[in-house]
Amino acid sequence: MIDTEFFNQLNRFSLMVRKRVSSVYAGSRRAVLQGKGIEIVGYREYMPGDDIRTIDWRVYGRTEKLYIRKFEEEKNVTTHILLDSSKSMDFSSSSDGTTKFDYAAMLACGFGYLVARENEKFAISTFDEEIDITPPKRGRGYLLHTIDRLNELQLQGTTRFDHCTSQYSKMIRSKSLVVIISDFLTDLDSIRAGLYRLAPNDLIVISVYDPAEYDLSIEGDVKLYDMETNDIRKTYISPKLRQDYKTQLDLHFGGIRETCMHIGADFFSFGTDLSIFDAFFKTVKAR
Amino acid sequence: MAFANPLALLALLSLIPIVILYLIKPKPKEIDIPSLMFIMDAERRENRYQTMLNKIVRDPLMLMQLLFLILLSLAMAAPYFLATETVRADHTAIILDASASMQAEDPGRFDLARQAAEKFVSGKTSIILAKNKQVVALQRGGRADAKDTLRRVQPGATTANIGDAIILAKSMIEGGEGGEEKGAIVVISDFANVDLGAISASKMLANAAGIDVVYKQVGNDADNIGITYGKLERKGDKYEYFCNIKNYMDDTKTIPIEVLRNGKNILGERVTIPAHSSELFALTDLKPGETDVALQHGDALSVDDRAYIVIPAIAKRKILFVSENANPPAKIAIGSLPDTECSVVKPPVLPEFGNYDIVVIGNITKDSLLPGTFNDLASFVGSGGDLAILASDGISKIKTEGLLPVGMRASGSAGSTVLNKGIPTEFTKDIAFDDISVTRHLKTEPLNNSIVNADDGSSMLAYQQSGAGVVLYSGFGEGDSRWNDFHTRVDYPIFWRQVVDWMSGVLGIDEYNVKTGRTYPLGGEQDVGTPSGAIRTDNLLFDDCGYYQIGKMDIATNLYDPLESDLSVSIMSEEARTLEPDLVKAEVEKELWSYLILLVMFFAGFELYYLRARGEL
Repeated sequence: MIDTEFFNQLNRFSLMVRKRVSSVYAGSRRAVLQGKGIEIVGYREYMPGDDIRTIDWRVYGRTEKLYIRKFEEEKNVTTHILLDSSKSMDFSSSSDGTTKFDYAAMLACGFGYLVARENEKFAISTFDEEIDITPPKRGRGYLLHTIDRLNELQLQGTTRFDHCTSQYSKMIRSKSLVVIISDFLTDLDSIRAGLYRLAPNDLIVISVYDPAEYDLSIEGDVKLYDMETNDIRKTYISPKLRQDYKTQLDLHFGGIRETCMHIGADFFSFGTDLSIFDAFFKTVKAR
Repeated sequence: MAFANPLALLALLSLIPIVILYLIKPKPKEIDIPSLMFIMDAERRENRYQTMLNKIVRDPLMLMQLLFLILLSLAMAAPYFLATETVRADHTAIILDASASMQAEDPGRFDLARQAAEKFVSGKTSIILAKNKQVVALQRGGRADAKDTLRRVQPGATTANIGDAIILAKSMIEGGEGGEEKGAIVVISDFANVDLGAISASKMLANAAGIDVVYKQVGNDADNIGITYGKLERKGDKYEYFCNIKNYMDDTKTIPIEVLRNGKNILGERVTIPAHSSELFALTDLKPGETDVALQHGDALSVDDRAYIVIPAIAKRKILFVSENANPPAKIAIGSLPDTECSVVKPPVLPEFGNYDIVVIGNITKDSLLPGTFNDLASFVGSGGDLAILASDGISKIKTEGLLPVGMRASGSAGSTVLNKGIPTEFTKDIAFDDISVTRHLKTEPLNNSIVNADDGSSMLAYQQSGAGVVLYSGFGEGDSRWNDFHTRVDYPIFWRQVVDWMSGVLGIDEYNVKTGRTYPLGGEQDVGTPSGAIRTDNLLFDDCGYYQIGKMDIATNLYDPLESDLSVSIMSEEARTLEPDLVKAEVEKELWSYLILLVMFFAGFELYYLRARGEL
């Protein structure tokens, strides 16, 4: 269940960080590109290949020369939030039952809340084996509607990260802010391919994990059930196996971090025991 | 399979609590995990065999502990099984033929035997050199001792009595560890001209005692020409030597012969010998000293290519014959001896005894000798002189100061008698006393150590040690036909020659030239020079050809054995020709506990390794 009480904390937080991040969010940002838009910033002589619809015929009438209008690009930036809804996100070891998905959804809604406050468009889409694409919209009402949708969402399936990002990237029309929140428990090559695909955007990658999942705080003979695939494995968790498991985990997330550095994305990794406020603080501070 | 300590199997009961402990062990926890991906990756990094083990058994630790306890319990029960198999012997007695023929060929038969013997060395090894007398080179030695001994031993120049060697080896094996140990006898020989009957009999005796006897044959047929016989004879003051040179080859050979005296070449000859025949080679006019007869040719055996001859230099022996008669038969016999100077003196005035080696008191009367003469004779004998007192009518009436070896009876003389031999001596050998016709003799008290006796118990020949000298009594007198006919017999001068040689310590020429294989008791340890170096011994075995020095005496030794010189070999079975160890077939208890203990230790170590691999140690 998504707890919306933390939105108040974000109110205080957003006031505190607004000045520092005033150029982060789309609504306050000056676009440097010129292209399609409303406000005319100037004219230049027509060159073959230019869109003939941009020819200002009134200037032609006065000067008998073909001039085209130059517009300022739309300044607003849409925020796309991709939220992992695979079955592995249903894991929880905390006493209050907060799953990784609950935590990730709160992060997603937090970003949505901040964007909605700026009256910018945002979309929170969930993905597992397929992606459930929701169109970007403005307003708090849309945020509340999204929260209800996430609360009712049934987590299932594995994660096809490359496939889902491939589907989603097709609907991003201009450079946007893309936030990916997942446990990234899938093949590293698939993750890399997905991240490279979204690299042209302003990308924030957030990994969510459960502390018990990382520490593997179990020992002895166990029968393990894979939450995504329902595979069963009997094994003996020895200290050495646990150490090897952690090593594998570190290698995996090290690979994701390295990819993010390469494409200029911001990478964060939060355990579900970390407060949402602290998680937002770290994210915003880094930007 | 049986167990020496079956009660220890009760220890297997300890498995029950282990099994129960594992049975009541809680079921594995069932846990949901977001992804098995990293668990599986981590498992792949674990030991592959450990993973396989995990697949085979649910809990390898339990299996290891069970195996550990089972093996430990079995080891404590000392399992064994009986198997009829070939095993090495506990105690191997190796008999090496060290006869002259083993010196043959190149590489030598003895070297081959020595190399083969090394393969038969077992935990305990005895090594016997089979010569004509057995020589124990090593008794129950360890492996290193055996190999060291085999490096040192050398073949001799004698025959080999392998049958006796097998009997000796059998007794050595039976004498060890209460007869419990498993023994084997290995005979390594060329089996050339050996007494196969005696060997087979000895082998059967050993087999009956449960001791396996293995024959191993070395050597092949080889060509040889050798001196197979030699004889030295005295002719007057000179010696003659003749020897037999035999050609064992299939074709006629002409070989050069060199004669060397005291190392210097004095004669060169050539002798042609037909195939498988012998030729006589003689040397005359041999003088005192060392003479070698050397066959100058190359063949497979060198030990019989040279004959060694030694003639001792003997100083003339001075003998004083005291008699009323001018030229008695005894004096004539003594005077005819070589290297002897005999002078007859008629009493009463006698020369100084110290100038003589031997004094003979012949026919005398009661008044012949001056008073004190026997006192002087006692001093003479006491200081090393030798005295012979011959029976005469006067002797029984003279005080001899205890020098006379016999006690005279008062009744005087007796008539004819038959002679009986008493104890044998060097100087009475080959003398036919039985044939002597005695018509009169002096009656003496019976004597235990008499050499020749009359019917009435009177001693006819006796001797005693007196001080450093010897006193001989002869009841035959100096040669009077009224008493006996000994002086007329052919062996009379022989008797006197043997008496004089014996008294003066001179041996016969055959005592200086002996065949190898003879032993020579020395009466105490002393240094002896041998052809192969100096040794110190109290009982010398002439087992090498050449010259031996015993004190001031030189002795020449030769093989002179046509059988040893014959190097033909009867090839034995393939098994005997294979110079590899045959193992003793026996029913043995194969103990398994040591292997089990090794397994226990392995599992203990493996369990520790496994726990460490799991990170629990």
